[in-house]
Amino acid sequence: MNHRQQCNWKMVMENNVDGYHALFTHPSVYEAVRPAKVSHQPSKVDVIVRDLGNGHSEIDYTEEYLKLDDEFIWFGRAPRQKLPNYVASLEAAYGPEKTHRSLVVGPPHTLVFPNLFLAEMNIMVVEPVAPGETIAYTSPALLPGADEMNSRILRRCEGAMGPSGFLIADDGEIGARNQLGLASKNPEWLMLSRGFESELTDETGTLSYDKSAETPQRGFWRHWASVMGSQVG
Amino acid sequence: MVEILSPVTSVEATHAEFLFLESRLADESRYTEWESLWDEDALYWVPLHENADPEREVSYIYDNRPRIAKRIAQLKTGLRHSQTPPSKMRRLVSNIELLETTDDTVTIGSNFVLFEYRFAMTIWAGRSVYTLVTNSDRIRLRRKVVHLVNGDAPVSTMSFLI
Repeated sequence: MNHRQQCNWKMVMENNVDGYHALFTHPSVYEAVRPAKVSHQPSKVDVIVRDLGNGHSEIDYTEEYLKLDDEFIWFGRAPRQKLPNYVASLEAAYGPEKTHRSLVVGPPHTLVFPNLFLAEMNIMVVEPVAPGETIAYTSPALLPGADEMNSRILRRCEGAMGPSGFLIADDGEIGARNQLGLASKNPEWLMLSRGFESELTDETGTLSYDKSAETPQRGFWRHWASVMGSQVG
Repeated sequence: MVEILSPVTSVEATHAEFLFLESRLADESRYTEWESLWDEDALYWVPLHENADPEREVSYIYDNRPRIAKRIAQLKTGLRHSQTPPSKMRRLVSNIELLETTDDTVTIGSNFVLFEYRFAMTIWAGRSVYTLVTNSDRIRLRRKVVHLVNGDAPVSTMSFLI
């Protein structure tokens, strides 16, 4: 699906790895449709936000989901019994343990710099049109031969994504409002320092166990600034 | 698309009036009343193109009855930012033609032009194909399929009732 949004492309990308925007942007979904898949209180969850380097960044649910040890939390908590052929094929190929782990952990929620977003079972590519105009192209990640998965993947994509999606329509709205706000150039700067003191470094990059830390955003913007020829501290 | 049944068979006045009512309730974001028009067996579908297969291709909207209820519930929270405040809208519905009848349904094709104003004026246009259940004293909406003329192209946020 093809969605024209009235904001800069970087806002669309950054928003995808923002660990706290959902509290403000998506309460209508949590109130009317279904509760959030994990708590939004950072102190209650082991969700990691990570700057992978070179502008790539992600929200990593792996530890939290492994702790919960429930399959398909990332897939509307679909019961295994509804997906017998897919699960059987996975078990035949990878064995029951690795299958269980994969179905618990799920797919990535990862931004690949500059304009690719792996949105769990959706893929979004963002095209800048003008400083204040962006097109987001979103496709469900369909699995060849796995019809029982694909039917749910399609309906979940429509539910969340695109111009009528329960989620993305409102992300686009907030982007448009931010674009209008930025045009005032007052204040002149936006701070992205949240959670800076909570950051750790390991072989996977710079990360924080505070889901509301702006670690992914800092990684994205710092790399953008560097490829545009300026240095950011 | 369904072929026209007969160009000389006219649509019953009450069925045309139902289309106008549905359009006005959508225009005015009268969510509860709009939802009450739907049958329990329902499909509200906005494909990307006219010959789309919804089992193999993604659509903009492919709502069964439970998802229509969720969509309306979300709009009614007042926290659906992309419709807070709701778009101001007026649509023209015309070229109404009878496409098919069964014992308990009629299928009607129509064209629409919709003027939507929020940050700016957006013009939407397309063809809506309605299937109405007609075997009781109250007409109910079973299917509304909206073929946007520009469904293949990038479209703006469409979280109002199209």
